[in-house]
Amino acid sequence: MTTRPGVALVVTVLLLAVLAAAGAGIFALGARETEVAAAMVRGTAARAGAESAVRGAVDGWSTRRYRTLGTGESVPATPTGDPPAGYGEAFGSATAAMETYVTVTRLADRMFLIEGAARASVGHRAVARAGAMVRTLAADTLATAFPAAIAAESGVVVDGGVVSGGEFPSATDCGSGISPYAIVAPEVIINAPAAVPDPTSVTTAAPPPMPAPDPFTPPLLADVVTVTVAGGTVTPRPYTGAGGCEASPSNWGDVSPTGDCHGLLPFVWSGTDLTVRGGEGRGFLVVDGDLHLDGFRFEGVILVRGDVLLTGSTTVSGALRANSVAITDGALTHDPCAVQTALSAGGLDRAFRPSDRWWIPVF
Amino acid sequence: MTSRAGAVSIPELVLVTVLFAIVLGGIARLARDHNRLAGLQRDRLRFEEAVRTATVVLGAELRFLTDADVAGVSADSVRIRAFRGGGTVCGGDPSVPMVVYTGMRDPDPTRDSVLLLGPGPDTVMALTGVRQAAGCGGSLELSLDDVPSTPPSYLLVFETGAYHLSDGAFRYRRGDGGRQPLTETVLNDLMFEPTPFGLGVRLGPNTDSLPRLSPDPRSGGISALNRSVIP
Repeated sequence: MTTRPGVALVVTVLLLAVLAAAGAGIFALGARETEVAAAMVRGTAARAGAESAVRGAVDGWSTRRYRTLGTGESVPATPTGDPPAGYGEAFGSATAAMETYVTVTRLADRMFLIEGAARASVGHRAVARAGAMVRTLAADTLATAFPAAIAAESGVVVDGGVVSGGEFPSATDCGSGISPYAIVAPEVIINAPAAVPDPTSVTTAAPPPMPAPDPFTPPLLADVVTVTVAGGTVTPRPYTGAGGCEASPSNWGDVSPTGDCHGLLPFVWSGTDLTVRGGEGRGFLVVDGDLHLDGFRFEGVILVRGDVLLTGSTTVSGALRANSVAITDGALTHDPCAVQTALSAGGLDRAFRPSDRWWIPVF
Repeated sequence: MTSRAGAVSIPELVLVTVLFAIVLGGIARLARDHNRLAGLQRDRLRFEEAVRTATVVLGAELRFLTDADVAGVSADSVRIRAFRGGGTVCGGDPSVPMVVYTGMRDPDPTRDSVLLLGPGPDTVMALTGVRQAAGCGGSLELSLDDVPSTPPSYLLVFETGAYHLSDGAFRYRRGDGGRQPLTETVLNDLMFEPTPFGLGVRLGPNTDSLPRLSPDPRSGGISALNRSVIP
């Protein structure tokens, strides 16, 4: 057997080594690029999750939920119901791909900070945070502007009917600090003593001022009105269609707790004089003019910039505030619980976006 | 005439030499092409990485700004309030609030200012001092150069800075300091430009010297939450 020197094997091995190194280099670059792209996707998803969680908390906001929160205190956001459409699964809970957390901190009486954090938890984790400041109308503060069945800035004349202060509310149910007054006005003329069964429930003093800025003036007003009435004479009634209660300008809800429209609770606004003849409704009624109620049943809050006349068998359970009030017939009862409920009407209970800065960086 | 065993003839030697030259030439050409390919790949990755860095950094900085926080946007610079931390005010005097602070770094009176948020209008004040506070659980006490008209509820610490595209790199300059590069010098063909969504910038090419890539890595839109209607 003879051996012959050769280089073919050596050359082949070297060639393979060069090719392998070249391939490995290009593969490494590609793999790194893939990893970087995946990390960016996770980061973007986490950021979107955090921002969506904040938006979801704003969307499901109810100021009443945080009424007991002290300034500087924080609680987890407790949204009710399913996440709104468009927010995906990344809301208030953990999913296979995303965990989100939302906390609410009270910064001031009517100012809250909503902080959202999200962690994309597939593969390597990415974390993002987002924060938004929101303002509210502070229903508890607003309620103090409606301290009696009738609160008038000028005066009240009682020629008939019944005006009563109702019962002391429970602090846990409807807020504290609300006294059961029948009438609060600088001048009160009672021509029918039987109309005010408890004379001690009448206070001859100016009612507490409206909170400043008055939330029932533009531009906030435009955000909360759900029914606009063009003045004149109206007769609102609950309307139920095939699908249940149907909202319409003439449907102001149902006073009966068993009615389909009991939960409608609209915020009704009239920019001029209004007469309501018969019918019923719930919620919040604001009239920039004079108001005449004739045989109307209402549960909630009525705020009138002008004068009010009550005739017929009008019944109001809640609170009425106006420049002056004259009552000839009907029944007005101060109901702090109805007042608190009405302060959720329309969008009164929701979060409002501050005029300039909403989103803020959180770290 | 006979040949010795194991010896090669001239034709064999020539054939081997030619074959070896061909193989070596192929290897050399392969190495050269690969080197060029690797260089292109490297350049593209460096470029993409630089654009990505600029987009991510700018996106994080601009995401939560308002108009008031942006001093100006030009083709090669974006001058902004760069927020570095913040926290809830938990006590103290209006001019020396205690803050439950979190941030990228601690506040620095030599270079930071504060934005006071609360029931009143947003107010900017200079930071004159910082010290640890005993209350509120590990908070800081920040001294301001004035007394706010309304007590703040939340406080953001910021420095004024500018991001630049200069000398081929994405750079950050704090105050009047030097422009520190945040990327490699591969961004000669990019510029800032306002986006249709209002506040924000777009890294877009100002020449067509670079080959088109799909997807084009040269543009990175950045939207700001406080200004735009989110598309």
